[in-house]
Amino acid sequence: MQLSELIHNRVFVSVAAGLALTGFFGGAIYFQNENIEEVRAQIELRKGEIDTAQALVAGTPDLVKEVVVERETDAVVAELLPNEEAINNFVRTLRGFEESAGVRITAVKKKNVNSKEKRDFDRVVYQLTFEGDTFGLIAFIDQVESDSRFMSVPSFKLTPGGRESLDGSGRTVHKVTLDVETYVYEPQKGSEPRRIDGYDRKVQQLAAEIDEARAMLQVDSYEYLGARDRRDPFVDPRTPADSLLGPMMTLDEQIAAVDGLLERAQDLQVFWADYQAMEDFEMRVQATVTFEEELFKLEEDVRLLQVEGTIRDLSEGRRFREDLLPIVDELRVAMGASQYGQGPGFELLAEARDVMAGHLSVGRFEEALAAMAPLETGLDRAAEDADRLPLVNEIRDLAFRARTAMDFDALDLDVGGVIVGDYSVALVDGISVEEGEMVGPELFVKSIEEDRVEFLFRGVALARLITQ
Amino acid sequence: MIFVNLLPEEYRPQPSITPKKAALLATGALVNASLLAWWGWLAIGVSAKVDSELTQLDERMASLKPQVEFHRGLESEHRQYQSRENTLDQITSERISWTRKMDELVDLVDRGSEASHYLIWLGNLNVTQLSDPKRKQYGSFRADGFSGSGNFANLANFLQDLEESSFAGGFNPPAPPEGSQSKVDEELVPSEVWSFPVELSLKSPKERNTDAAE
Repeated sequence: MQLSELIHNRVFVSVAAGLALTGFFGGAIYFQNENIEEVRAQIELRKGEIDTAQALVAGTPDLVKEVVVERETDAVVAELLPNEEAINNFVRTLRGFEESAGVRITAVKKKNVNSKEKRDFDRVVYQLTFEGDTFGLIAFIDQVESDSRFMSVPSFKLTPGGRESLDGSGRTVHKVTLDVETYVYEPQKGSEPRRIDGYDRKVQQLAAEIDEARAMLQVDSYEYLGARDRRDPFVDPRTPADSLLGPMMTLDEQIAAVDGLLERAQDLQVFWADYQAMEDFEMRVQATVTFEEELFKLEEDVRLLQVEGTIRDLSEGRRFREDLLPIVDELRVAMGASQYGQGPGFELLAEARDVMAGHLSVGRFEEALAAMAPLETGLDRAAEDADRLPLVNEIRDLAFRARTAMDFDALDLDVGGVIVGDYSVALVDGISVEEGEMVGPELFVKSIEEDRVEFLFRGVALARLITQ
Repeated sequence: MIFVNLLPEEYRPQPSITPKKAALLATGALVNASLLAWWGWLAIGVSAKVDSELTQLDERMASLKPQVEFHRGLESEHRQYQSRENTLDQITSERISWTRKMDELVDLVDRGSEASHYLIWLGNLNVTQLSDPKRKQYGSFRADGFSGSGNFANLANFLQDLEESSFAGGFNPPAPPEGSQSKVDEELVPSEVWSFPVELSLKSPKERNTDAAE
């Protein structure tokens, strides 16, 4: 069949057109589908990006806080480490350290430091040479390490001076070479800082965190308290043989001497603690006398060793100075100035007076005399001291009153009755007596009342109740 | 009776479509109509929907972009600060307080211990602090030591006290005691002197910090 015939065949044309349409629609559907899949892929991609962005943005508030804290603490970093301009001040600071440490700087040299890596912190090292004793060296390092700017001492050498290398104060001068290291803070330029809304308010809200972060940046320093009577460890401490004149003690004798004194001092410490707890006055007085005597003897023995200079071992000398002497001084301060051999002290006399007056007020005359008894032998010596004399007089007067009262009690007086009126009389030992009349040696009638007769015995007014 | 059509071929009436052909044509039309409908659904329904969704997502992403850029900027700043802080931490944590060390050494040499009586002093001192983790070298404390006694045991006593003292914190233990007797000087008391080295090597900064924490 010819093509022209086929074209004229309607069925054929219809089928062909139908197939063409089918092909067209199939292609269109295919490409449409492809396009849709592509868009869907973009949607998935975009969703992923959005999820990532949202997760990122969700952390922004925390990040803002961290950056605010870091911006605020960066100022501390700048304070801690000098910048290029401040490095000149650093050298001036070293000069200040020299003066306060009592050393003499003889050379200052800046060391070349190769820094391959470009960082925010550049290391700067100065090498110093100076003269001074070990404590000057430590004081100098202390100044370096405790300065508000961060500095460190990475290395140092000390060459000890000999016995002849003394300065004006008699200290041995050593030669010291020391490196002082610091870091210059020059922040590298990064991206422009972002503007944070409400920055000042956030700074206020984060004040606690900022303070904490600043505190974390502060560098701890050691508190150096100076030489404190310690010897320089770089000085030969041996004693020239020719200076060892006078009484000598072996090391064992020195140890025994210091041990013995220390033991006595410690016993007295215990004694003093016990004394503080005593309530009975007589025991306290006795303890005071014993304590004063023991302390006086201890002080004498300590003084003797000091004068003789027999404790020459350094270790024993240190124990003597640092362990023994503070205890003795502490006891003496607690006890008050020594009045050993000079009678009882002021405070003891005052206490005795108060105790005696207390006993007398309730008629306990014997107790009043007993309170004075331990002090009696020392009263004469105490009376030689103008400060204590009035107290001694008061105590003696109280003792006299106590004895008089006891003697009066011992008198065999019979007060039989009284007539009280314009002209009062009393019947004493069967004899009628009136006011002012003498009834015995040093005994006068002072006044007559309805229930009692008051006598004046050795100048002390004492009463007797009327016998019923 | 027989009819004979004498008309020429082109004027003769065409035979009508057979049911088979009609079914074929109808199926074809149905398929094409379905395809057209599918295409239309895809083009007007699905494609428009996904395009709209993509547009919405693009807009959402665009709205997030400034916040993301702000966050990235802060992150960059934060990293810079972190880097500085880490460097500062490293610098400060490696520092040794030589004031403390020297003060403790003076204490030890001056006081000795309650149990030991020795007379020690030191000669040339060389203190270095290094940071070489590859070779595990962090510096050392070296000094010449002298003991004013004929008793060699005093060296061991001193070195033991040194090792047990707070001064030794951050150092590796000193070498075992060794020494030699120097010339006897009768002009000084005590006249006999033993010389010995005092050598301690520094531990790593991490170990030193652990020691300090303990």
